[in-house]
Amino acid sequence: MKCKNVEKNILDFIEGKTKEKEKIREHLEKCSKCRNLYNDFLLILDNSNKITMPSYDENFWKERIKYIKEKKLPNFKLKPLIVNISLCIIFLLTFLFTRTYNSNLKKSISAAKIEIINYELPFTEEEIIQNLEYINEEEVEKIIDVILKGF
Amino acid sequence: MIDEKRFEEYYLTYANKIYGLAFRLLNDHNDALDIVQESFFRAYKKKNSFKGLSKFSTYLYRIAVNLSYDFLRKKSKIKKIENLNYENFPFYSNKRNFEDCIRCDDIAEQIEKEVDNLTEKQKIVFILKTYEEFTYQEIANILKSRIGTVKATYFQSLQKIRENLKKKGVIKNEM
Ligand SMILES: [Zn+2]
Repeated sequence: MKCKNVEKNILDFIEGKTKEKEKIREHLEKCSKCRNLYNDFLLILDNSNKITMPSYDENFWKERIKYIKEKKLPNFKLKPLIVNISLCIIFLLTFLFTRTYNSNLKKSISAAKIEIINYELPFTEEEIIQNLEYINEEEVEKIIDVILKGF
Repeated sequence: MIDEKRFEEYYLTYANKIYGLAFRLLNDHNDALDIVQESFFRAYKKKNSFKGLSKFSTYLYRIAVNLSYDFLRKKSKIKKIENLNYENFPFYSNKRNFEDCIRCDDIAEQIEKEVDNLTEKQKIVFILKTYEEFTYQEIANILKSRIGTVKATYFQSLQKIRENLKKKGVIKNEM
């Protein structure tokens, strides 16, 4: 067996999972380069197992499971943002709606904009207000996107 | 399909494992706790679509790995933490058994540092294989990768640790 093949199989050999055990063993007896590789890997793996993984006790985790099971609340920092966005939308819609009575040209432009908003927003403004608690970050981003695009 | 009771069992079985994995990757225990929380939250939402424990744990680890990666990417501009941050971590036990080996303590610590110096991919494969004792196939499933790639990455990670330990004189450099 050549060094290259030994190298290729050395990890399986260490785990005792290779069919060519004898051939590799023979090679290791003769070849100091592969023997060093084997010894070094063994040393690294043996000592890696001695590194303790940090852990918490069961009570700590039991305490936290309720946060997973309860519906996850949106980030509190986002709440005022959502309120502001919904107020903005209401204001803009009202503004555009009033403007549509001013002139025919303005009317058609504004109507088009309202259509864009109503078409692309994942929620109506009533829904936004009613469901403030349940809107997540992604949806807020979508709303902001639409607002930026529209105006 | 996983019911509430079973989900709790799985949670208690895997919380520490996912935590340990995320802690190794992120070097911060608050960040690691966030990863645990988010991973289980996502698994909980999907709990009705799992057929068994193996699918559940694969999904859980995949989510945890992906979230950790995302986290690292976002944080990559912030300077790399040199050492594991154990100081403000009250539950960490630093006790190790090295009665049988005088220099092991030293070597184990050196190895720990070198694991930290691996690339993200190498690190995750090394952790899953060595600490979590997954098979190559299981790691391939978690990472959506091929068994050959996982094996090669694991070999590379060991080689890299070995080379760096040689440079530092922890391992004898005999040729
Ligand atoms: Zn050889």
